[in-house]
Amino acid sequence: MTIDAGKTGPQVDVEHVDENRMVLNMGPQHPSTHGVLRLLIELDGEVVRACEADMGYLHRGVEKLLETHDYRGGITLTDRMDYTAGPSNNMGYLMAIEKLMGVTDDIPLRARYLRTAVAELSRLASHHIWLGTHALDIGAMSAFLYSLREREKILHLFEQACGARMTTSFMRVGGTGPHDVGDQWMDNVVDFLNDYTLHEIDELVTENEIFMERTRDVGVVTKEQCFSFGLTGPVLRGSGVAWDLRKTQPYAAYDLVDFEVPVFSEGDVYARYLVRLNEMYQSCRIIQQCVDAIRDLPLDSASNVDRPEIVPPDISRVPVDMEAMINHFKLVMHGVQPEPGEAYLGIENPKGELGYYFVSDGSGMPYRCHVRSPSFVNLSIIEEISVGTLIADVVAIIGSVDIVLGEVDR
Amino acid sequence: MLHPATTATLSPKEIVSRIEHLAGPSYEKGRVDHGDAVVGVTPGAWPTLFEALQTDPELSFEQLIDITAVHWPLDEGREFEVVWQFRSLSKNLYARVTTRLADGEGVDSATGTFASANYLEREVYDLFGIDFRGHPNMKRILLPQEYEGHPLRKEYPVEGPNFPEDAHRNDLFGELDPDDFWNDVDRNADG
Repeated sequence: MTIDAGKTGPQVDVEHVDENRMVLNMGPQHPSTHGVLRLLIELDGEVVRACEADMGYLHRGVEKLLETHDYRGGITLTDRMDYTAGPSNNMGYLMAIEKLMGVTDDIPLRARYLRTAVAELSRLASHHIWLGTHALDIGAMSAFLYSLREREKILHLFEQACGARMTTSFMRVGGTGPHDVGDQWMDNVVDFLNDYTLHEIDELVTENEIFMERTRDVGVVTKEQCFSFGLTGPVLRGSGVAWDLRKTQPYAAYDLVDFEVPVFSEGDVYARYLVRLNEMYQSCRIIQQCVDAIRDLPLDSASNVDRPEIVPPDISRVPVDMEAMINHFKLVMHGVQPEPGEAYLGIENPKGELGYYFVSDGSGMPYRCHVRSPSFVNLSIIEEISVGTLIADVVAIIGSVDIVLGEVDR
Repeated sequence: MLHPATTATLSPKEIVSRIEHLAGPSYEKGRVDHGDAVVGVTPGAWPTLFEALQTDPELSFEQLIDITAVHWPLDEGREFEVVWQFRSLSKNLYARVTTRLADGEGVDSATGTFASANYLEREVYDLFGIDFRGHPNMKRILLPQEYEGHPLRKEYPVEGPNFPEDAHRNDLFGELDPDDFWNDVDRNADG
């Protein structure tokens, strides 16, 4: 057994374990690891003495694949990473390309509001998965059922908007692409918000004595640990840092809507629970404002940027207009072609900062595309804060950090 | 409770010149790319620059949010570009610092200053084969330990190293002979 007590976390050596200790292999097939994560846990009785995460079971080489697809073709790969919040991943990818092409400021208001609304809907969907499974891990069965029922309604809204529930491939570079929505869809969103039953789940779980007993003062992450481990998202805001990219570096329409960033300073599992729960109420506010704003826009307002080298022409013009035909052909064959250069854009995904780093060589395919996935970076804290806790608390800690393995492994 | 600055306290240009000051003789070139500060330094700048960036009162980069690399196989002697991305939460700043390395050359690990470097450097080692000196647990993280090769290098084929040519087509349709197509057509149907 070798334990490096430094900042990098202890490591588990399966071959050489002390006589009174036991190495427990938790996962990769374990309901509480939320995917194919394998944790090697060294136990002294019921107390965790060392913990090491083993990942990569879901590695699909997304970054290598992105280098072989044109910019439009890569959209389909992005929603398969954090599959609980597919549209939000699409938005990050598209906005990073738009930054690379220098058209961020030209994106029409309609597309910006719609992106914001859909990103917040996917935040709700993602947080519902987390809320249900996290409560289920701790023993609150009924919250799981209510939670997934609400998530199903959101997935139904995605399906109405773009035809897919989870692998949405929503929108295109330069605006909404073919995925503009009609009045009926916005009526459905408003109906969803009016019938939304988050407060029921809130009443079931938040003041529940068993839940509080299991989560308070468990898995405490300090502010200094957040800095050193590069943690982002609700984990960071649960430790008393009011950092939210939607406020500090606004993108899409977040600078045009009114919302608050919930922050709690305790740093334990319960604080992270409260951060996410309050975020869901704020998301509802943002969606309502976006729907109102889209309805206030003129009916014929543009939903795509007016740049023929980025956005294909209206399909009805293609058979009758030679210029449109050539434009369409070139975009289908060669895709958008950014100037040589590089750009990084981070967005506030439900799980933390999702960043896309592009290097362009001027061709239609990215020379290099790196994904900074929040789950991968946030996962490293589990090795650190599990040490010294009970084995049952490890389950609560994994749930509270909220990882999705499709994004960890990419 | 830490409340970050709502707007950046320094412009990207000022960030570049501040990092130039901190790097001293190791500074190579700096530029503002799409609104982001990007600074190139020589490998000799590390690991002292990590701590300098973290503790500098003007920059105070609390977080090392990402490490990645780019492979430029045609640039002989400087094939690999390692990219560190820093963020200051209190001052709302962002910067990218890059270093060019030759194939097989290592670079100092940031694990002594930033714990986030532990996983991120292992990922770069796994996919590019770049060694980070002083890392406490340098082994593969995403691929199996016994895997050979580093897939994000440009010479690594996207189908995998032992993928036979035309494997898909032959598996699905059998050997395809261009003449077969014409033989199926009865060319003399009507004489």
